[in-house]
Amino acid sequence: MFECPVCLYPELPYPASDYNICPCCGTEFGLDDEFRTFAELRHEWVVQGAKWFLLEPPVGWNPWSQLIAEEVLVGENRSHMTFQSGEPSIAAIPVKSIALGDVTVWGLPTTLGTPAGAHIPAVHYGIFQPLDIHFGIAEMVQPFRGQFAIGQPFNTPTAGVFSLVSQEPAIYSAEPFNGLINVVSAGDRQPFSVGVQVAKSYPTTIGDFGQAYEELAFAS
Amino acid sequence: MPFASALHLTTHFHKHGHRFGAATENDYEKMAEAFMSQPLHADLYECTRTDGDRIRLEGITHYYGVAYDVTIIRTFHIRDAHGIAMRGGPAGFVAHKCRE
Repeated sequence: MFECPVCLYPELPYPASDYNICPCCGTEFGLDDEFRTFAELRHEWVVQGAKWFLLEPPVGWNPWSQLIAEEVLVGENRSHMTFQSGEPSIAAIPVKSIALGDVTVWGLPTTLGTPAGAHIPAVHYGIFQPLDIHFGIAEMVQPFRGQFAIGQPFNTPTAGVFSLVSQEPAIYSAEPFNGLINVVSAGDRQPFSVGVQVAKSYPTTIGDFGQAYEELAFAS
Repeated sequence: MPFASALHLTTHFHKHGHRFGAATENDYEKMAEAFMSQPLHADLYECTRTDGDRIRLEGITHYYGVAYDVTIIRTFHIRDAHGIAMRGGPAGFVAHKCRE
């Protein structure tokens, strides 16, 4: 098996060349990549919803976990973890190079199996290092706009990708520092994944989250 | 002159078949075979790469096909006019593809 260099599908049955077409993202190698890079093609695929190309996807196929597994969505200033189903737990996600700017917490509950309308495990977070500065009020971006407070359980109103962005970037030191963001799972029935991003200008968008991401208008 | 495998045919039909108006994979494959086996004419450009791939482009319809080992089709689709124009027209485009 081969790996698709565009969508990172790990079971490409032939090399990514010679006009072979990835059944996952539909990239035809030698045609679609003539004038566009793999990263550009990936971006296009993602913002269009990262849909399976050929007929029905394999059982259990998940584009986001596929990308996350390959760390495409987990760059230098990103990290993530996945909560397993029915396991109340807390995790401190390390975040590098926090400085002036936005910090985003993002999650992919639907893509990890949570049905629409279902309860999403509570998520709350805060930055505790090195100065015990709490990461205060954040605002959810669409489609789940609302207030988010440190230490308070957070429930997404519906299943879906969510993202939070800090409204208080100025509290941070101009010197970058590393921190931790605590994410708490209430132990719901479905597994879900959350991540943390210190974003200045990260190029990747991810589906519905990508739409929200665009609205963040990260300062560069 | 078939595609290399059922999966190759299915993926290419799924991606390109509708542009040819092909209702079935079989229809699409027959169109590809007909294109790659038809006699050369004034508007049909062809070259053979050093690796053996045979490339064809029809200058009017922009139908484009690639075959190897004489009988196996790699692709059959319609090129966009802009990409052809960027290479100076059909002849230049085919020559460029042969040099790649």
